[in-house]
Amino acid sequence: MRSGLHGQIIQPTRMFFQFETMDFRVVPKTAMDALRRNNVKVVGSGEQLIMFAHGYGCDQNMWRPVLPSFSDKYTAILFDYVGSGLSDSSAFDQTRYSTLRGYARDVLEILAALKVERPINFVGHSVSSMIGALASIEEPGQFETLTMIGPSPHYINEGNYFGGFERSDIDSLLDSLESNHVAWSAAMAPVIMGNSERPELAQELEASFCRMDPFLAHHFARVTFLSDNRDDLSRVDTRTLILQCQSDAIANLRVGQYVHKWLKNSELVIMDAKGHCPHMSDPAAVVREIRRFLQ
Amino acid sequence: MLDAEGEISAANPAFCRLLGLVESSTIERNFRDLLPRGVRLFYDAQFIPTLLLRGALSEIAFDLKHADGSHIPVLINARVDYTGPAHHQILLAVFAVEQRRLYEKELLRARKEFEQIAEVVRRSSDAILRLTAEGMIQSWNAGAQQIFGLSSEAAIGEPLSSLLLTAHTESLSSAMKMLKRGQETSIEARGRSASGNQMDLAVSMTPHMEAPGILVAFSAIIRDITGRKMAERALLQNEKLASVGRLASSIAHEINNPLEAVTNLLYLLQLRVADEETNSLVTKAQRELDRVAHIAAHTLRFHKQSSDRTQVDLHSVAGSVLALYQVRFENSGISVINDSLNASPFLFFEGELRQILFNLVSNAFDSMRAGGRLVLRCRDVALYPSGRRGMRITVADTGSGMGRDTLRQVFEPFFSTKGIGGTGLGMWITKDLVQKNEGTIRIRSCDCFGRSGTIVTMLFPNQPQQGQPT
Repeated sequence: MRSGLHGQIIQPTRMFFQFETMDFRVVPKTAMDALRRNNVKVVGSGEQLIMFAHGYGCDQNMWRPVLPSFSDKYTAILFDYVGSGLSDSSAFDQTRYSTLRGYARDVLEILAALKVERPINFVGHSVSSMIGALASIEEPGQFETLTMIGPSPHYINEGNYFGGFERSDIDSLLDSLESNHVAWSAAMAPVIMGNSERPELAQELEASFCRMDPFLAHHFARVTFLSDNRDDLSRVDTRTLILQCQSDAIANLRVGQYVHKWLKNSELVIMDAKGHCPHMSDPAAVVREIRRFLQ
Repeated sequence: MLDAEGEISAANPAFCRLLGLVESSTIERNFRDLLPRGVRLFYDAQFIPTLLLRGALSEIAFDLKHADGSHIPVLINARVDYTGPAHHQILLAVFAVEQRRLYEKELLRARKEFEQIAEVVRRSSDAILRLTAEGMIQSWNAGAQQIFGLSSEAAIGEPLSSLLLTAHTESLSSAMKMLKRGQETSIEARGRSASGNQMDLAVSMTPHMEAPGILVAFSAIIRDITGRKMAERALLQNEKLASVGRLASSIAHEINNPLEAVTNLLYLLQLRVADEETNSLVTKAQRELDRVAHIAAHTLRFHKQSSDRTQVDLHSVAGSVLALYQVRFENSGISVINDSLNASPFLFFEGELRQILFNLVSNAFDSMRAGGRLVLRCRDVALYPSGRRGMRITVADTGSGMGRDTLRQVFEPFFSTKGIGGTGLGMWITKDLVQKNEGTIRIRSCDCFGRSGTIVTMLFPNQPQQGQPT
């Protein structure tokens, strides 16, 4: 039994039962569409709301290591962006999703569909940091706080700005994605949903984590790594926590400092963790920082 | 072997040789540093999170940096090994795949090209189909769906002939014969959509032959040419109308000369008449002749710009139109009500208003050969929803009325129910004149026995009083 990595393994079924019991009868059809489109799951029944938004390259399952630590006080909203995880790939619209604003609109539509009545705490990893920022500019009243894990408003070096990458690097990333078309397609096969009575099914589910429609992954990568949202930072009024890893190859320290400088109401925490996914490699530290910030 | 943070904790000599590294210097380096920067993005954003969640990944393509700066394409199988709580290491098996990668690149390029072409076909507004040699549909694109209203599930496997009317079976089978001989062919045919609409189609078919001269499949490009056919028909009709117009003007022109002569003769005649009774007969003749002259002049002006709008007294215009039919109304036992005394003077092209009323009244008369009631009513109204002031003119009769089919075609040129006697132009012209005066026209009619009749309602907005002396 694997147990070391995440400290605690969440039974897949636990993630879904809340969703089943919600009353959707009063939700109009378009709202239902948003919930299905983005494979929205609602976990826990705490008073406060926390929304976890995954970054490029994975899906809502990436929050498994941190999720149990919020179940006492919070109701967590999880979802997959269109093209990731178990979202409805057929809802993909090239024009709508050609900028991060389209993805931000999805976030707002999910909140509308859930009839969320109080402002939420938004936790976004990587590109979701900027998606959350854009959503909060659009409808500031919906957001109590933003937490950005490894944010970058722009990945490409430009003049004095040090994003960490050249345009050619992004092209080589896109090449890598293409070379891995087949490997990722293999995981796109239909998945049987978790059944706690039969652990081998849970394993099958596990094998589907971070599913991405290969074509849409390519698209999402382009939008993620070629977007420039530097000008939007100063328009964010929401109180923000920036979690920056000491060494993060994707969003370097200088980028974190840049984000901090331009966000009016932000706090920058530099973490010892290495890599781009501290909530997976060092979940305890991430939980500690977020809980402290939300207090 | 990597530790939790990606530092290389062990590597075999083959790995070091592959990258041109000295074994001792390989240890303690981060695996990430062996990747070109763009590939690092993929590694951090997608590979590591997925690997940690799934526990294993296989055949993931990477590029590694060789010591000499070149890039080596490899495939990596990866597995996470849990050594204890909160500790794990990552085991990687690395294969160099230079030739295979080149081949895959070529495959990918070809596939992309194919997908682009497939996309062109998919999105084409023409129906582009692939068919078996027997004419069974094998592929179905967006254009086909648009034209025939059939989903690909419903269409695939059906014969091409099912899309066309049965009348074309023969031309289709002769087209198939040509295809079997390897000849391209095209036919024009009428087809039927799922909703039952018929349309004109141009079908061009191309054979796909295999040696020795065997038809293995063919493709068909089908274009909906209903619009073009309709345009052709409309053009024809236009031409007919124009010639009618020319004919009418030339007749009017020819009538004008003798008319003038008769007018002059009547004038001379009147000078010679002494007794009162004869004189009044001549005056009457002159008045009727004036009317002929007016009609002739009006016909000549048919295609020309009308003169300015004038303030029209609707009651007197309506009265004069009804007066033309007065004798006939009386003979047929038709009672007439002219309810327009209260209407305000209205700025209008008087001649055109006269013609509109004349057409409607004459239709009403034709529908009431066995007697009935005719009401012509003019009322000041406020138009909905603009609230603008305007005029409502209603012509209602208790005649034979019209059925649904007649009503649908009533404004079409050359549509007539009057047989040889009707031109089929009256209502068409009426509608045109109403629209020219920015008005709207609506007809309600019923041909049910016992409560048949027709109500024509027209609404005209008030014109701003420009050009009028204040």
